[in-house]
Amino acid sequence: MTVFGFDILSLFQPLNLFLCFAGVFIGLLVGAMPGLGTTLAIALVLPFTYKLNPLTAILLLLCVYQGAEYGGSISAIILGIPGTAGAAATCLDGNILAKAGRPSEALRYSLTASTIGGLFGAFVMLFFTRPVGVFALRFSAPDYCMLGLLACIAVISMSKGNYIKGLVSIILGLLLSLVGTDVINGAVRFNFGQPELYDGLDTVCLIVAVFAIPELLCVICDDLNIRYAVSSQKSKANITIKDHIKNLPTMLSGSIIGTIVGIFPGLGGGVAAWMSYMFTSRTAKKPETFGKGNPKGIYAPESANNASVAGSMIPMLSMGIPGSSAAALIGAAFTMQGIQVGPMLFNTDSQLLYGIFFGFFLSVILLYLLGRLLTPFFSRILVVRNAFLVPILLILCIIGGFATKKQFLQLWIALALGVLFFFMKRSHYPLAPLIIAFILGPIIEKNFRRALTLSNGSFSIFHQTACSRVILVILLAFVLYPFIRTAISFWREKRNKTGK
Amino acid sequence: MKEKHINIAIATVLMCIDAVFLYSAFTAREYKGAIVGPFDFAKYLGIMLAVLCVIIIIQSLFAKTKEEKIVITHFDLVLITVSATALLLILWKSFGLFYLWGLLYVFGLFIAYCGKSEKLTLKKMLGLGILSVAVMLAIFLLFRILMGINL
Repeated sequence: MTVFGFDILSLFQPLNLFLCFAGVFIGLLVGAMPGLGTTLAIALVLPFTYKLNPLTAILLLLCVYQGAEYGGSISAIILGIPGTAGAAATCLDGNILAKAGRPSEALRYSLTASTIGGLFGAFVMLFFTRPVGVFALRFSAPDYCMLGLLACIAVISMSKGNYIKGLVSIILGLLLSLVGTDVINGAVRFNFGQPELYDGLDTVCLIVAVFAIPELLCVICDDLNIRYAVSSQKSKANITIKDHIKNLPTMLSGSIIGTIVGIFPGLGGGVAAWMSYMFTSRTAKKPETFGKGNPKGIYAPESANNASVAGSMIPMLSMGIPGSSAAALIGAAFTMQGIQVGPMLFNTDSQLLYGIFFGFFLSVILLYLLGRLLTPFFSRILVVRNAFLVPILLILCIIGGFATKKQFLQLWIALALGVLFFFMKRSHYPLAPLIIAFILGPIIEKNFRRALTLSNGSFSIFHQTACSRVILVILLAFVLYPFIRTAISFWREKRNKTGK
Repeated sequence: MKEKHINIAIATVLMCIDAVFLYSAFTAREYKGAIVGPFDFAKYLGIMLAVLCVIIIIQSLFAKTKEEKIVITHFDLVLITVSATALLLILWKSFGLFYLWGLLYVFGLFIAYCGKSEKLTLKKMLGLGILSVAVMLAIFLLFRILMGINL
């Protein structure tokens, strides 16, 4: 049965189905654990996609992504501690409902909203990725270079952290991406005489160093032996389809916000969820009920954070620019499979793309089915102490780092960098820009050099065409935004002081 | 430890890494005819990184705001974890037998982490030992048998 030239029945092959189930399960499990998060879930599974065919590998990772975004709401609702950034807004009303003895209801609202958000995002991805990809064909070398830089800088501009530290993370990521053989000249760079580094730093090992090791070391420091208490009270969720239909406008508005926010690099599920929550609470008839167990307070953020999953994949698939750090890890999977993502992928491998689009629908359906079956089980898992989880996750990371290239040097580099990044994380250096810069580094450098070669070394090529000027203005806006924000808040403070 | 000291230490380490990259870039052979050679991008990045690290050091030294303390609780456990991981890599590389060293690694970490908050009786240690064996068995089944990954 073919749709858009793709045989949908191939998605239902036993291996694909099994791995999709496994992906959603792993995503739910890791996402539900407070402090672990979506990127760690994907980082754990990524190394093992090397041996799979490209479609199966990407679907597995998308299922993990979807599962983790919903999974974060389980601990947000039951414990009041979000498992992922995208579930932070869900805590406000979800945990109140749980404390009122209605945890099953709250979890059911969350699951339905996540499903609707995921399906909406999947439709948008199916119909809009190609037009964005066609538009992206107009971009030339300087445009791709600036878009790559924009993706990196947007992540730090929109956060409230130290801007200089964010720039340091980006530059460090770009420098690390230069290790290995230069694709243009064939020169071997920064391998320090080690043949294992001819192909550069292993992406999986770096992902382990950036996300897994610092996160797990932070867990060791902060909450190793915390025991989360979960009430054994079981209450049946008395929810009908009419209750869900009544809240459909909330879910749709959340889905729209989530998809749009997901497209922009640097924002992600957390921002999408909060924006949707604030929009819904401010436009509600009774805004005072939010934060006190209003179901809309769960429907809005949960539909947004799952819709942002598809949103973040749109620029990834159409331009090779990830919309979030999780999408960047999925981009790494494409690289591991030897596939160049971008607008040309529609011509070179449209079957793979449509497989991903339709597979996305499958992942959402599996999320709903597994969520209905397993949410009570995952609520129990929260009582497992981190003292038992951390060694298991560490050994999985070591295996993951070794599995692709089987090089001990890469593991040593991962361990050393992981310790450095742990201290950087404790000093409030943002680490997500580092991995985004590492993954985009080859694109940025290649197009930077191409642009300057075309223009004979003149930087005017970066503002020659209308497209380039627009991108340059947006890039400068993101670069200057933190300074403008600081200046405005400084001026407001001064005005308040003189007012007093 | 004060945030200022950690910031200065991290900036110094990053400058050392940067110095290595810059030294490699500036002493590499020139590619004549190439408008932008393979090491030029690294030079621009290295110089930018050095400037930013100097800014961070200056900011930390002359900050007027109240200094925050960065507390790393259970630092001993962090050191144990890193050392145990390093030891695992050394033993694995030297002798192979990943499953044996992995078992000892997992068991050792369970003992270290659980022993921090409670007294470990023989019964508890036996339980942790059985759990370690179960974990390594699951890893063996999953990776060696199912996925065919030779460790």
